Amino acid sequence: MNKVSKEPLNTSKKYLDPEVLARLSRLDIKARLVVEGFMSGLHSSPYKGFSQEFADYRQYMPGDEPKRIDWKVYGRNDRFYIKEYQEETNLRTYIMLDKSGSMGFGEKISKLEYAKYLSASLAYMLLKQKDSVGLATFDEKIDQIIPPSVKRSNLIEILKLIDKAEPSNETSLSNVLYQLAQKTKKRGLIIIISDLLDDPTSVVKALRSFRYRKHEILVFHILDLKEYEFSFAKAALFHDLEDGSEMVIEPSMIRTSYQRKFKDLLQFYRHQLLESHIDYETIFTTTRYDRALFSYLQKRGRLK
Amino acid sequence: MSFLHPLYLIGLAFTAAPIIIHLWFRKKLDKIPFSTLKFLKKSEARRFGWLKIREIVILALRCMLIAFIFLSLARPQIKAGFLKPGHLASVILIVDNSYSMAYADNFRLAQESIETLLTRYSSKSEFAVFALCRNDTSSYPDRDLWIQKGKVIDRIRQITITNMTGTIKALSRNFIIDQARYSVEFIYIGDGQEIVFADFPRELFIDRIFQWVKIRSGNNVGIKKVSLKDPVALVSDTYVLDIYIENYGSKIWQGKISLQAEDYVREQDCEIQAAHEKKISLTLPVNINKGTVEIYDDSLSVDNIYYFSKSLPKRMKILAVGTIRYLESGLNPTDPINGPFLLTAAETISGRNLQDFDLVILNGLQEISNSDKIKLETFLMKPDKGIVCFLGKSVGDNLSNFIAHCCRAEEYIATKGYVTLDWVDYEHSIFQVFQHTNVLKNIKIHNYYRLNTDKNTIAMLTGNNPFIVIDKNLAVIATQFLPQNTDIVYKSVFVPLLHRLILGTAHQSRDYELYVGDQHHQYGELKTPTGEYIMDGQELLAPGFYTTAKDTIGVNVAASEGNLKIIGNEAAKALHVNIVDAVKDFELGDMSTTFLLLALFALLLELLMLVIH
Repeated sequence: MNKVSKEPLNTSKKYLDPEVLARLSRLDIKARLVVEGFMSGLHSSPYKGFSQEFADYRQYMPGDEPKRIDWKVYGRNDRFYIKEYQEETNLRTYIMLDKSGSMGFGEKISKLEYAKYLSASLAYMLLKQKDSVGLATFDEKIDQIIPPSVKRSNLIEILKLIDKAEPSNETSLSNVLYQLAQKTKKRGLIIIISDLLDDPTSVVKALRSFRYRKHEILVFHILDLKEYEFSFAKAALFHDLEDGSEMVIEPSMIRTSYQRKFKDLLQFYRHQLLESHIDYETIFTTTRYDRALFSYLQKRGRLK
Repeated sequence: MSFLHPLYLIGLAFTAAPIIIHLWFRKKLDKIPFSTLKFLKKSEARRFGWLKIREIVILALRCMLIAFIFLSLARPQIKAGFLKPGHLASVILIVDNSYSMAYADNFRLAQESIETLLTRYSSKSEFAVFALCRNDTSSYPDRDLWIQKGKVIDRIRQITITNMTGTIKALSRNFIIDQARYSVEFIYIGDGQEIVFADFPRELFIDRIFQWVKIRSGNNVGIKKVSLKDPVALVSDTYVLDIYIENYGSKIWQGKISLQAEDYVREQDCEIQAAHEKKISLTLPVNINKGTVEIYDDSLSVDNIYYFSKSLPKRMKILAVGTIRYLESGLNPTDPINGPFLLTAAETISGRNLQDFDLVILNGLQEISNSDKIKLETFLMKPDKGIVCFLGKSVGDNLSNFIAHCCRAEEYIATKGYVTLDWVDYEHSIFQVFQHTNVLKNIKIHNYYRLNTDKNTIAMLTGNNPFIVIDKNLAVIATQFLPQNTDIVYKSVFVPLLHRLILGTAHQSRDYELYVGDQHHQYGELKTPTGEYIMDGQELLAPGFYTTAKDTIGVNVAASEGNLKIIGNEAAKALHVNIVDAVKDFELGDMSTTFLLLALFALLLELLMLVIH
């Protein structure tokens, strides 16, 4: 019995694994599977009732759905009371999906693929909890943008846009953020999914300017393990996915130095962004999606 | 640049091999798309910069290595030039055909240089070809002065080496510049001896190009002269020859000097410092009076043979006219048979055949007859004869007239005390041996004739009165050698002085050489070394021994020609002469070794680069 009951749970959870998910074709299904897999794991988690918040009790009125009667209160005082839930304030969320050339890099799945599933999953989850969600794809500049909306139909548009995102051009995150700042007057949550391969100082500066406008920011720094470890075995001709330049590199010669510099970069982002109260998560393309979704929920929780 | 084996140049195509291999290996490398190299470049900028430079340098070195090897195999020959091809001008070409150009292949090199030079000129250019030194075969271009480029070589080939000297100054009379169609340029091709540029007519070359195509000369060691050490010495069994050798070069010269006279050979090692002259004295038996002196191990050996022919006094027959008491004691032979002088005393000249004598002494004669005067004058016409005239208390008209071409006897002076020799020309051969003694200074003269002359006074008395005057082969002494006139007769210097005076007047012992280019007058018909005859007044054309019926005359190349003295670069530049080196600028240089060394250098550099890695 247990085995039977656990089966759907395991099945849904397995889609939190990026590699498994990558085998599926339809993005909407991927998003749903990820979120469902994630949600099923939340039953024992402290994050209950994330979509609605208890507000007050009121007396049962004819016409109310009987299922909304709080039977525990009836048991205590023999009166019918209905539990009133306060609808959450509509959170305007922008998912910023980096589709620059560098995002095309990845050993098993590319950073962009990972980012796309993550974006889709987040969008699905956000809409599911009635938050308005929009999406912008960008490289050097904002490529396309879908304004935030709580409509179900918006998800379809978002998924379409995510689906057609292909890696191209260079990253200019700072420029993109300045552009977005022009378009978003209302406060909201900005989720940036990017490899942040831009000038770190200007990226941090641009993000801080968002914070200054009272926006909440969550940065998912998407990385590939190879990119982090530079664990290439032999000399090769490295091709820059952004500017197309090429260089013959003997990895063993520069690995140590590279790793040190890369760690320094991550440290810089972590330190600078946390200092600015910007949530920052380094996500490897091998990381399960629930971690990213948890990060979101933590953030969401703080925003209540 | 030209190549002896140009086919090897095809191999230069292999220069591309390292690049192709490099690109091929580069292509063979796995191509890894990577998020961005921006960060890599930034973090490793210096290292990548170095690696990239190193990669390019190694590639370039490999290409150069291959290129240098094939260039070396192709035997590149370089020749620099001082003119751009197609140069248009009216060119006056002066070809040095002096004797020094006979050294090694110099004349051929000069001709080849001209051929190379011609390739630089436009076919429209015109040329006037001049031989620096005139001879029979290389005449001045008195017809068709300006010729076309195509005819220059033929004209050049007509020029042959001569034993003469020439100067640009002398040649410049023939330059007819007015008829030139283009801008006139001068080119002198030769070894550039100083004499060539003597009195260089700079005014002619103002605003015109004068190029000197310099042909390198040999070592500058030459025999300047071979002369009798003491031409007025009394010759007994031997005599001494002084050989003057000069090293004109800038390096020490070590070699041998050889004197050959028929079977007689003397050799001596010799060392001369740079720019120094050395005198070598050789003692020879009197029967060796002609031969050759030659320098060995000198680059210009043809110029270093000196043909010497010396006139050595035989037993001299002297006719002493007048009082001979004291002269006799001075000239009396110690060996009556083999002594140097055979003295005949006479009261007068009349009745004596002067042709039997070599020297006549007129000792205190107060007058001579007209016929004697004519006889004496005829006697004097022979250069190897001489007259020594000691003046007595009075000088008659005929005698005065006879000595008039030498000096005038004005007044007989009887001093109350004495006068001495105030000045003596110690450079004169008669007095040379007394130069470092004071034996002449102590001679007292009591009575003497005051002479008036503008001729060669070789001794003077107190008060600037000439005491001994020599004109060619006539010597006039202002007094008689008698005790009442001078105390010389009691002094040890008397005999040697008397001997030297006689030998110095009769000129029997003398250097008997002439130089190429001289015109001879006194020998009549001369037989040349090649057996031909040249007549009086004709030029001597080649070195060697020339003979007359009774004499042998050594003819040499003039010291200025035979003993090279090249004009210095600075001196030439001061004359606004542009110097072009015929070897550097015309001769083909084989660059194969240079390229091979460059290849080796490239290889070493590559190894060094790999070691640095």
